[in-house]
Amino acid sequence: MSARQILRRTVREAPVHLFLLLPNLSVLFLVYYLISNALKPRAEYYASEFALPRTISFDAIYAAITDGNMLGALKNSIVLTSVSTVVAVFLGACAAYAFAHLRMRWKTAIFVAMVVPMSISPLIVSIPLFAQLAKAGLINTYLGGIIVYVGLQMSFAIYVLDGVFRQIPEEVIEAARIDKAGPVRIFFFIVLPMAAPGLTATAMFVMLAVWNDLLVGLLFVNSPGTIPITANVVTFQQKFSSDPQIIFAGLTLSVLPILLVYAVAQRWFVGGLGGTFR
Amino acid sequence: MARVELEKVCKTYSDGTRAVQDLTLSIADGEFMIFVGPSGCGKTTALRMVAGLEDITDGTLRIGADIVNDLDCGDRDIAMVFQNYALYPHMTVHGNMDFPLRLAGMVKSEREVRIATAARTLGLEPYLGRRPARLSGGQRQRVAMGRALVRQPSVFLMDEPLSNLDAKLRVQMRAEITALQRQLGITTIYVTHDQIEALTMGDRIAVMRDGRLQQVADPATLYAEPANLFVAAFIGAPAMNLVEGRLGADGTLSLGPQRLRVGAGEAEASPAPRDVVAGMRPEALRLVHDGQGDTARQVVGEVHSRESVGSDLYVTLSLANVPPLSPETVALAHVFEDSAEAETLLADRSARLTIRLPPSDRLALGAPVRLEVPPGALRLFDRRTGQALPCSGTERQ
Repeated sequence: MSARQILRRTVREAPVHLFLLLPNLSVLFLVYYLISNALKPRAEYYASEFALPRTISFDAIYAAITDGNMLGALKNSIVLTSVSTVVAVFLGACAAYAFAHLRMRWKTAIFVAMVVPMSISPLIVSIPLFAQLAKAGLINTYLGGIIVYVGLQMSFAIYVLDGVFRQIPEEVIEAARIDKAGPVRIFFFIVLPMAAPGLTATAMFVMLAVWNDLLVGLLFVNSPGTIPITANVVTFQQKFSSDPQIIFAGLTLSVLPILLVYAVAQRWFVGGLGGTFR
Repeated sequence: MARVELEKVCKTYSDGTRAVQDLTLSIADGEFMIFVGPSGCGKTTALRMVAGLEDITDGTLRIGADIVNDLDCGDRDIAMVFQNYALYPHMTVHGNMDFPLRLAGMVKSEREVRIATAARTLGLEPYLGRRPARLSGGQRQRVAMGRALVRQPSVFLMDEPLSNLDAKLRVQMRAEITALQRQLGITTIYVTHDQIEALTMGDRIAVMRDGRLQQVADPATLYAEPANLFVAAFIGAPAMNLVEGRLGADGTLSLGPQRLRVGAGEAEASPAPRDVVAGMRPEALRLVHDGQGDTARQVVGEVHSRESVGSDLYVTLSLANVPPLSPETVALAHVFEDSAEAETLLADRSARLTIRLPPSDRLALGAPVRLEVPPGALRLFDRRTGQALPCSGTERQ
């Protein structure tokens, strides 16, 4: 490619890059704003909330962890998110396998019934759900939180995994049947390994949704022993209303783990949903 | 090893489509049986019913001594090679062959012996550690064969296993599969739409059309004595020449104004006169000069087109004043994938005959030609039903 061609291409593509830069900048600015203010000494914050920190101070972070229950909340979030994700994706995979590859009556009707809840706001079901959980004594327990998260995420998992499993050629499953594998063996030894990228991507999306959820944390698991990290930060508004830096520190601590996961695993987010199995 | 017997086997789908109708066929122990026919003829459905992947609507299927209609495909002691190979992409070549053996509960030492033997037979030893994605089409095909081989099943089923390979590899694999089948002696059912594959590989061939069995015979019989117009037109490339005519009470065949004497073995005791379709293989016809040979067995025409395939020259003649095939005969003889093909065939103004000549032959377009039909080269079919007229050489099913 000649220098002239490169120049022409750069000029032609510049508007596109500029256009894409804007949303990126707005997100990056928020991250910068959060982290820089969490790390500034108190005086610097009051001098300017937009400036870079001149000295780094971990006071706010320390306060968030010690006075704000952030470590406990982090543990709660890890337990709730990991267990809910594994259970939702596994159950979703079981259902999606049946929809995609097993013969059964009323398949379409059942599929629609399973997937429609995806379009219903969790807010609408929160009151009856609370009543049921309270009756079962599951408010402020991990089990209660996990049941609600799994229920809310199942529709999505089934919907996405149905698409993933449908890409597995029927012939491969027939070959396994001829090799004397029953439906359970086919599921564990053929379908799940073949769909690993799609399963990973689905798990990533479910994990993000559960980790970032606020509603369930505030309504169903809000005791110190069960509250997830996002809902815990919301309590900072009352607890540390005179100390906004601790709020920033809490927000930073709640965002960091998921940013870390995203940075490590981002290629699986989308990659797993587009593949074929030829 | 086992015989496979289908008795009045039918497949009707829930929408009423009848994919296979009254299929009765007995495949001997160790036989290499080919199911051939155009797409949609029911050959794959028939194979899938034998495999147990498709329910049998009606009829009886026996493998060995047992009726297996309701037996799960895993319990039929069959192995199948699929058109797209259907390898397990997340397993290595070794893993693909090991999977069925592990499921069969075989001990590791015996599994390894079987895999090693199959890999040696199929030349797969260097690839045992590779995954299918890193193999060529031909190698994948071999792995699919290997996965079927290791199980040492009583019946091998193959569903167009060569259709995804390029032409050269297909010819090579054709010979290898045939040799392997002979060596192992495992009863095999092989589905193809390619009549060359059918003729070169099978002990016997079952020709199907619209879900119905047309004829079962060994390749030579099928080629020489097709049971009906469809088999005549389907088997052989180029296809058998078909010309409409009328068989007179005196044993002469009128093709338009031209007359041919019908030999003693070519049509016996038929209630003449009747409308017939005469069939002649391109390589059976002989070019003769005026006044030579048996004039009662000759037709005249002129060169319409020439096509050289290197080793042979195919010359198509048009027979002056002999009418082309009627739409009814075309419908009996052919299945067209699209209507344009049928229109091309029906657009002919006069009857056509293709002959095979040595490539050195220099027949000019439009040149008058005289052809002799040697004794026994003529096959006659009833024009209304399309069935071959009985003759002394016909082997009854």
